[in-house]
Amino acid sequence: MVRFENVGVRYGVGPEVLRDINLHIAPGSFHFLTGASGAGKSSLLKLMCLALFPSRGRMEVFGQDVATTHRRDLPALRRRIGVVFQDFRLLQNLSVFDNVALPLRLAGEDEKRTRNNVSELLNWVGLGTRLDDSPDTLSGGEQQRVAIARAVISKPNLLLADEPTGNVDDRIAYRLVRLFEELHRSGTAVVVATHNDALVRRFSHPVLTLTDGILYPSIAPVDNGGCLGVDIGATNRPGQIKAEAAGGPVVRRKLG
Amino acid sequence: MPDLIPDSEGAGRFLPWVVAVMVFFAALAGAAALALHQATGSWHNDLANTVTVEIPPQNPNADDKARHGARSGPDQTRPAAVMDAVVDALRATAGVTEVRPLAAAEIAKLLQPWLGNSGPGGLLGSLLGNLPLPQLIDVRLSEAGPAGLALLAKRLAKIDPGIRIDDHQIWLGKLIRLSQSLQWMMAACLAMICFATCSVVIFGTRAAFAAHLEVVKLLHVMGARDSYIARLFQWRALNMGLKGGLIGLAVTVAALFALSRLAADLEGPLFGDLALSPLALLALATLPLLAAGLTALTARRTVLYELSRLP
Repeated sequence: MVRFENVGVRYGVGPEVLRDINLHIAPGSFHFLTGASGAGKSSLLKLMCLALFPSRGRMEVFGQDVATTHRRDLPALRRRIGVVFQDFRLLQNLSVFDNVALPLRLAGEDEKRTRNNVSELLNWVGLGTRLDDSPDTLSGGEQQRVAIARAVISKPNLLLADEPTGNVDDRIAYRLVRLFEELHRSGTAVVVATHNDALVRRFSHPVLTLTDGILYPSIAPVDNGGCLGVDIGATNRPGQIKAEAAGGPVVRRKLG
Repeated sequence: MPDLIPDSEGAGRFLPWVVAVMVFFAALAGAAALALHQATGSWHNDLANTVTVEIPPQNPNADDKARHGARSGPDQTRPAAVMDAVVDALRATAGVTEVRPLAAAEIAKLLQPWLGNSGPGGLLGSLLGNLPLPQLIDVRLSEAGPAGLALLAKRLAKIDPGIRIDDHQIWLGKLIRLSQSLQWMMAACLAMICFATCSVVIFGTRAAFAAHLEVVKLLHVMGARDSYIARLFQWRALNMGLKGGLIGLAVTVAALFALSRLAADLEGPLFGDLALSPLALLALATLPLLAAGLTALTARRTVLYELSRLP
């Protein structure tokens, strides 16, 4: 679904913020992306949602090499990716309903179907009575649910969440990840960026760790079915691979 | 669905007023160009097939000589006799459709703009009897080729070598050249106005684009096509351009009305031709649409260019 080969990213003439990234996100997989602030998590997510192109290396999204994909074909790829932003990025001049309906309208969906789907989804996330409200009248948690509903309304193949648990307490954070797991069970590949290590340990999903622009894929415990799509053979630096699984031991091994 | 790019933001609020000013100037330049074009055609049509035959005044010295008996001859009877001979010769010429000698009062009227009233108290009135004025004959030709005129001139020269034929080409040529130069200047003014309008729209659109960059990036990441995003700015610009255009047109109509009232007070054959035809007025009325279209197109191109810099 998403494949990176020796991908590097730099902004302008600055130093590389991501270096030699090798990664494969398989369809239907679930990954946490962790790392300290400034490690490059947001840049990696930007790459995955095609908001940024690599400075070097090869990047494939849904089987298409983005370097050779025509610009006019990129929007169709982007519509298969849902993004939950850390700051939600809800449009304040649109109602809750219109915010969630936006991806469907951009895709040219039938308005009647859009109305039904959006109403159903907002009911599901508990905001069925706030359809016509402005986002700025909602609490932070409610805005987050609107942002998630907007990201998943078009049933994306890949869901990217940038620090969705950054502004909520542990209980809500856990419930959010459970929500992402439900989407994951319906076949959507999910990548959740977070720096909440405690939260990550509560789930048995593989972890991608970014340190100073270098990606260290994790190895999940054997009883969780291996790496769930992380191509450990093509790791970034011939060195350490850090693997963490919820409640399990941290496995470190040397390649080569 | 509400507008994704609300135009209440400050970035483009001034645009309608700029467009209004540009439409006002463009309409004035356009009106001037159209009026001149129309007048040039009218002058050309009026004068193309006409010539004026000018019989020079009698030599005053000849009068003196005649009075003192030094010499008698055709000079004494020349004006009337020559006039009759010339009129007869003209009427006998093939291709001449109308021959009309100008009365003394008509000739005096031609001098009025320079010498004032021809009435009893006026300067022209006091000078009229003493001025050596030529006699003029308006001649209308069915075809006025150079060869035909040359033949006519030769025939009239036999009656009096001093007779001149004025086909107005020198005067008309200068006037038309002046008019055409002015039209080109007006066209250049229009081009500069278009350029200035486009520049303002580009800067305004860039400012609006920067102000809404987060929304644009969000739409971009969600899979909006460039044309979709450009359309948001394009409709906004169209709306503002149309508003500005209509304001500019309203001011122009008021200005042209005032100018037409002023022109109506001026006497003279030239100014009558400067009135705009209904077609010209219709052309001016389309200016707000053209301005709105130009504004929208420029905004679209600007946004597409800015979007091309996004991944």
